[in-house]
Formats: sequence, C-alpha cells, structure tokens
Amino acid sequence: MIPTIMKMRIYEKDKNKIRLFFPLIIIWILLIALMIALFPLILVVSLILWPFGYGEKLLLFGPRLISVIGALSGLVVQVEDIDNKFYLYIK
Amino acid sequence: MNEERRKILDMLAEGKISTDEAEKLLAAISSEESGEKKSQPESSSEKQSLKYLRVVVEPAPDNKDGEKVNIRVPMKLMRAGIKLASLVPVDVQGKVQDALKEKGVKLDLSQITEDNLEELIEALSDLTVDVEGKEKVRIFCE
Repeated sequence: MIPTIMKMRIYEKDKNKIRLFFPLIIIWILLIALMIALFPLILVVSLILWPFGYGEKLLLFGPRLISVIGALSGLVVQVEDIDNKFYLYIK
Repeated sequence: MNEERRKILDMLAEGKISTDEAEKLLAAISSEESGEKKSQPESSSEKQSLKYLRVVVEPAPDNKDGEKVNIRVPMKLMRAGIKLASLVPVDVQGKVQDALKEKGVKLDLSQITEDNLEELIEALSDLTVDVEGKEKVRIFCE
C-alpha cells in the first residue's frame, strides 16, 4: 500500500513543540504530474546518453525512486531521551 | 524416499515382511512426505511474512538519562533502496564505498545485486541480536 500520511513530532526542552500531520497524497499527485511533464525531456536525454551507458539508468531512476517512496509505508523512527523526543511515522 | 520404498518392496519380494506390513510402511512414508511438503511452504511463508526490521534500544532501569530508540524499517524499503542504489554510476559507488570505509563499514555495493538481494533479506530474517549492558539493544525481524 502506498504511503498516504506522515506524522512527525519533535519535542525539545524549553523550545516550541512541533507536530506535523502531512497527507502524502499531495506529494504523489505532484510527483506524478512532474514525471508526466518531464517524461519527453527524460526520454530525449536518455536516448542521447544511451551509447554511454547512462540512458537505461536514467529511464529506470524515476520508477525506482517511486518504488522507494512507496515502500516507506510502515516506517517508524522514534528517538527520545529525558529532554528531547523525535517521532516519525509514515503510513 | 524412493530408496525407502524400494527397500520395502524388496523386503516384500524376499518375503521378509507381509503385504499388510508393507502397506503400513508405505503409508507411513507417504504421510511423512506430505508432512515435509506442508512444513516447507510454512517456513517459506513465515519468512515471506516478515515485513519489518526492528531496532529497539532501551536504557537500563537504573539509567534514567538514557536514550530510547525504536526504529521499524519495512523490508520492501530495503529491497527498493538496493535496487535504486544499483543505478548509481560506478565511479560514484567507489566514492560512497570509500566514505563508508572511513566510518569502518566495509561494504562493496557492486556485489549486492538483485539476484542475491533475496538471499540477503532471507539472512536478515534469521538475524536476532540481543545485547544487555548499560542499554538493552534488540535487533530482529517481524
């Protein structure tokens, strides 16, 4: 399942607390729009770079980056000590 | 298993066992075979169901100032990350490996391919680390 929500909380002693709830669906929409817009340019550049061995890697970069972002679902990072707390959850 | 069946049939042919005994022995062998086949998919499905790599650090009870760490990394993120890392140009890989070596991590990125990626993740699935000292460190897969 693709990640849709990111929750982040940062608590530092004597400083403002930060609580962030971000819908990642916005990122997905922007990313897809960007990839559609840039696809012709990427295709031309990859054809130019193909004889040098970089064309295939350029074409594969976008889908693999999306797969990395898609695999973030379920990531939890929680670090806390007596004065500070950091919490990141991607669902 | 075919050798065991042959031995049973040879014993039957030589008259060492009766037909009823041979039938019981063959039935026992076939039930063992079906049991092995059931257990193998279960163990592979257990490994496939392992979704996260967990790192948990807890301070000792008498160490109130210690840090607590709880990290959960999806296995699919590791797969996707390694596939993305394979796109890194060779000269850049060398620089990354040199930087890792300075930190004491001897890792050859070119050796990690998609073929042995599943073996690596399967090996991680069997990984369990428990360290107790000033802090309790646990690394495991779930």
